[in-house]
Amino acid sequence: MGVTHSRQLSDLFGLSYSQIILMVADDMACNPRNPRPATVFNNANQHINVYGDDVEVDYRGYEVTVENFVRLLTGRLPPGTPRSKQLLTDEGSNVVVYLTGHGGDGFLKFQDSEEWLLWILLCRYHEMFFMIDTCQAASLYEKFYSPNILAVASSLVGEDSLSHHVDPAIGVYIIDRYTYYALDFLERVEPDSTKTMGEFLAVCPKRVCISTVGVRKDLFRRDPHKVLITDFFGSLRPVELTLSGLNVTALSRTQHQSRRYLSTDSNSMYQKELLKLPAHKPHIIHSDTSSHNADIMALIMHETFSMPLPFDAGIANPLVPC
Amino acid sequence: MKAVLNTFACIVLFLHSSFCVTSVPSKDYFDEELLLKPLPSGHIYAYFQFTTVWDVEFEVTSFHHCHLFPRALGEIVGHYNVQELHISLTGGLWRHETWGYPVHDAAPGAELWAWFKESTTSIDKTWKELAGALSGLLCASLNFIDSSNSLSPEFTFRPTGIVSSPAANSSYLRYATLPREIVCTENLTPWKKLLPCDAKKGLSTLLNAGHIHNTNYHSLGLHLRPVCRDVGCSQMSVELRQTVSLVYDMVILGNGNQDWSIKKLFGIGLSGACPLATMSNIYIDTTLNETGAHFQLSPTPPAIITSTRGGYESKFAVYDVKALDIDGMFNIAAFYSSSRVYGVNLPPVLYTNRYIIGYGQERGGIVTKLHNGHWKALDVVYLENIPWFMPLYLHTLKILANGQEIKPLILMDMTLTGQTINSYAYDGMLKELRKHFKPVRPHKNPAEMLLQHDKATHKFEDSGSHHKIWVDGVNPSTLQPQSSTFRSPLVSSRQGCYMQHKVSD
Amino acid sequence: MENLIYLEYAVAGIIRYWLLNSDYKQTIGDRVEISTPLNSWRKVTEGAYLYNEGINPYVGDNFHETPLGLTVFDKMISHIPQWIGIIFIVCDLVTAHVLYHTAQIFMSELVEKDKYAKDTEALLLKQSDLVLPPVYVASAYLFNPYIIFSCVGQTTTVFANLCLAFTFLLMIKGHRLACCSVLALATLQSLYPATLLVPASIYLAQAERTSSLEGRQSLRASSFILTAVTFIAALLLLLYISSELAGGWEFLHATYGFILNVPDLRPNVGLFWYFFTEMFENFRLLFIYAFQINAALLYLVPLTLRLHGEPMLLAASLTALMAVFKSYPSLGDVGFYLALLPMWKHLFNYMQQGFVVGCFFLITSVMGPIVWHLWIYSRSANANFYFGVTLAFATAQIFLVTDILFAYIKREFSLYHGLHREVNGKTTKLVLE
Repeated sequence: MGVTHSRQLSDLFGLSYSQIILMVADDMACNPRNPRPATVFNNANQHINVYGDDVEVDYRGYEVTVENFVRLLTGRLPPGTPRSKQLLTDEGSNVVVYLTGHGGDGFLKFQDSEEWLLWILLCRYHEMFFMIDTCQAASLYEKFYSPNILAVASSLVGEDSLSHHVDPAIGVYIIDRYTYYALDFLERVEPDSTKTMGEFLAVCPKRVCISTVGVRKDLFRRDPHKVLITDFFGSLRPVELTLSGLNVTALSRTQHQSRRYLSTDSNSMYQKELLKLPAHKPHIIHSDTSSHNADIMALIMHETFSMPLPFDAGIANPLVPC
Repeated sequence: MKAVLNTFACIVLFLHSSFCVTSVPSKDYFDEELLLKPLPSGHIYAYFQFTTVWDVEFEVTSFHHCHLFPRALGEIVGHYNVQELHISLTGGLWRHETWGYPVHDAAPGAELWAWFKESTTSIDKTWKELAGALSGLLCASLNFIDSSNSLSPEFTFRPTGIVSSPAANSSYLRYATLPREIVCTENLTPWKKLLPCDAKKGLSTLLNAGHIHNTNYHSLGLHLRPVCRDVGCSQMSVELRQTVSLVYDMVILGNGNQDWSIKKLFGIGLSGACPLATMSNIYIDTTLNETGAHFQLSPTPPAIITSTRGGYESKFAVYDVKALDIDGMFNIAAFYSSSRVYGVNLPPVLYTNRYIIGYGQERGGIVTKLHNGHWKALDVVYLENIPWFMPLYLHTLKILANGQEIKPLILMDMTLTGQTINSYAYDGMLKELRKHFKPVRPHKNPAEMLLQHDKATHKFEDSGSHHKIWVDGVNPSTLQPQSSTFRSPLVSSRQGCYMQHKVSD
Repeated sequence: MENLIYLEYAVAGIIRYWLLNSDYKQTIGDRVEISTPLNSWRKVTEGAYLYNEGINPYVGDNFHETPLGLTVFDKMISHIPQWIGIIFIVCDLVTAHVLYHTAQIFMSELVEKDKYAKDTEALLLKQSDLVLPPVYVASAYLFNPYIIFSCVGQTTTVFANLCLAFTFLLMIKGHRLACCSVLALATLQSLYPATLLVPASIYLAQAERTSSLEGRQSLRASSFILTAVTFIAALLLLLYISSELAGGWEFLHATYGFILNVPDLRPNVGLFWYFFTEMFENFRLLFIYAFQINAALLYLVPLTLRLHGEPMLLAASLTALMAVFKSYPSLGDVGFYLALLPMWKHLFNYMQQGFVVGCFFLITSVMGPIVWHLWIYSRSANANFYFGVTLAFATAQIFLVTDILFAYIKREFSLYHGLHREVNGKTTKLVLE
């Protein structure tokens, strides 16, 4: 459920499906057990259908494997892979990765026969934000060493992440606690909000999440309390219109905001965008419709409430998923 | 002087614009149709057909300037040298015995077959890439299709579009099914985006995921083929048909009430036709009005047409949406005056049942029963696609008709393709079994085919998961009508009709 | 004694005939312990059927007999289907008879020994000891339930055992060409008997030594080379004939490729299937190599070095180890080497684990079908149960082989160093270090 909630959110912030890659391992919406087909609700009462009418799932069913996930993040997909299945990020992209499912100390479960140990090296991103909502989620970010990664986990090592509430009509738990409160926070944020990532990281204190939320910010060079949440979850920037040509120079790293300039000349109108880049590299990018300033590729994955394997650690009750 | 110049400028501008007008891209037109047919069993069959016909040669360069034709699909088709393409994504089983024949039959799961142009080299590679591209287009796992689970059936399929030579070379045909594939909103969304009006106007606004997937049978289809532009067939056009077949269970939906309406079925009324459509019609099959439960349509249909086909007469109420003066939301409702009547349906000419026999995980058998409702014997070409984890024993094949055993005659062609066993067990060795035999005598006892097999499910037994066996559907085919819109074959009576239907267990 | 043998043949034939015509035939033939993908008659029928329909039976995964076997079996199935059961029974009886003769010759060899310690008369074999073991060998083959089931189930292991038995006989008789031909035939069918070339070479060299009147003590190297060359030539000839019959060489992939690569992981009494079901794909090649070397080559050199003076024991040990470690063993293979054991009846006193081994055999033979049923039909067990039983069975066989070899060593030691051993006045016990 968490997966489609986050997707819904990203939708609110003006992200199109071309910027989101959704991996859903199990069919929930059109599952024969679902009494209301093609719908997934985030809350037993609210009745917001997070599956929506325009959802596009890029990897589903048995395509959600460790190999495909790693290939997607590292960009080493087989030739001929359609664009909708590629990450297509570059050095200026901010990437959000949201993972949820069953997990344990140092691994995340994929399907019923695989697990993923987080050792991959991601290429081509500017800043990355990892949100992990599984049991012992903090163990997944402990081994990061790449720069510019901010990670938040719903539970520390040795703790279970718990679900929020059950829908008695379906008989499964609808949403996890951390995702519920994170969603709640993000739903109340406007596109021009000044809320910071620091506030987002503190969204679920122990008294509501029961598990302790862990944060890894030593690899992130900025202070999360000074980073706007829209850097990751939105793509709108203040726009200044000008009719004259501009000399564009690289911005230094300390500047928070990037500017988008529109300039017209006699033949065409094109946009010049500046990104937050290393100082030695002046960079002008002609934007096409798919790569905005903060290229946000929300990478989402979901695991199902299937029976755990005997060797899965940290899963006590299959009905209360991590 | 100024006036002369002005006039001259006007004339020049006029000529310029008329040149622009004459150098328009090729002509294309788009039709949308909806058929609603109450079935004798109390279900409602809804069939949408969106047809785009584009008067252009089927070349890759044609697809660079698309108008109504979806460019995303055009680029794929042009790049991979496709002559004809059929995709269907289906959930549910079509009950031929009680529901008759649908307009387009589709096996459960994903089904994909394509005829490639004769200039194509390395067809297997192109096929795999085509499947991958289509999987990105339709958000389905079609990328699991490759040479190890694809077939080139020789007899079962014929090109439905125009061909350059009468003998179709089946080495240019590739057919694959993925019975385990689900169809849900994520498939409907990109499918709708291929329509000229997207889902904003016209009949496609009725396709709401929450309603159309709440059905006993739902199938999305995409069929592309070259057709003749005119009667003389001197030039060709490209025809794209996007179809949705749905079977609603009115007992569940109606909550006890057997009245139905467009709003009840689709959740919303119709606000108007698609402005880009040349024809936008709704047909309601009122044949049952005389024999079964009587219903009254509201508003009264402006036209009723009668169709005779294969000896059966059907009556259709036709609503031309473009001609209607719609204020707000247009809704067609059917009100039943009598209590619920479950009609007895005459089973169609050929229908099939399949089931698995045996117990335990070691071995089993598949029995296929073919029922012939025709008054004389039928020749049946039977195509079966068996996954690698059910190794078949062909020598155990036994066909019984009327209690006597008959041997599959004429030609028995079995092709075993590929052999890659990976841990997810779909790719692998498949067997395609084709028999051409003359069994099946009228009514009474169905012909039975029994085939024994082993089960090699131990490969994924030990991973702890519980996998069901998904066996692909079977294609018994006899002879198929062809025309662009549903309306045209309404008055036709031909001797032989090639018909193919898909069955699964 | 001859009458006894013929009586035994008759009784064994009757038992087999009765079972063949009873309702149990199909059940027995379907059991995984008896029929493996390599020797199953069902697959042979399927292959013959495909062949007759004009479809290449080697494409796909259902047929693994050599083209030679395909041709022979096809002829059998199409022309004399009602006699097929009788053919299997006759082959079994012939195999028993061949083993009987082999045992007779072997026992007569054992009597002629020299230079033993002075108080070992009790250990030496006497003429009277020569009479019974061959009968026991024949009986062990005829009345072993494993062999009976293998015959009734119509597995091609019957023919493989026939070839192996002839190999033993011709080996011990010293007929080089015939021996190598039959060995090539056995290798053609299941590849692993190639290791028997070593004991065969030793025997043939010994036969040459005794037949040449020069009285040399060492075996001539040229004999070995000649044997090897004959074998390879025979094998190549058979392969060539097979390729001519099959119209190509792709049958190699379906037969030897299948044996070596183990793609079909249907459970059987071997050890391969479970390992390869559980392991990750990228380690597969490594383990294939490891397992196949273990099955074929690993024990060849050490055993040869130790047992070069006893080529029959070497051959029997290799056969036993082959039956345990090959990729698709069946009970027919196990029954074959068990039938050879009575030839070393004189070693039975020295065996220490007879009771344990016997119990293991009995229990696993009973437990196997039970846990199979629980796993496959009741769905209440899983592969681990069946593999546990299989593992115990393999362990039992290994115990048996090592026990026999150790008994042989102990007896040899006693022969050369006397029965009574005393160190510092205390009685000693032999231990293996």
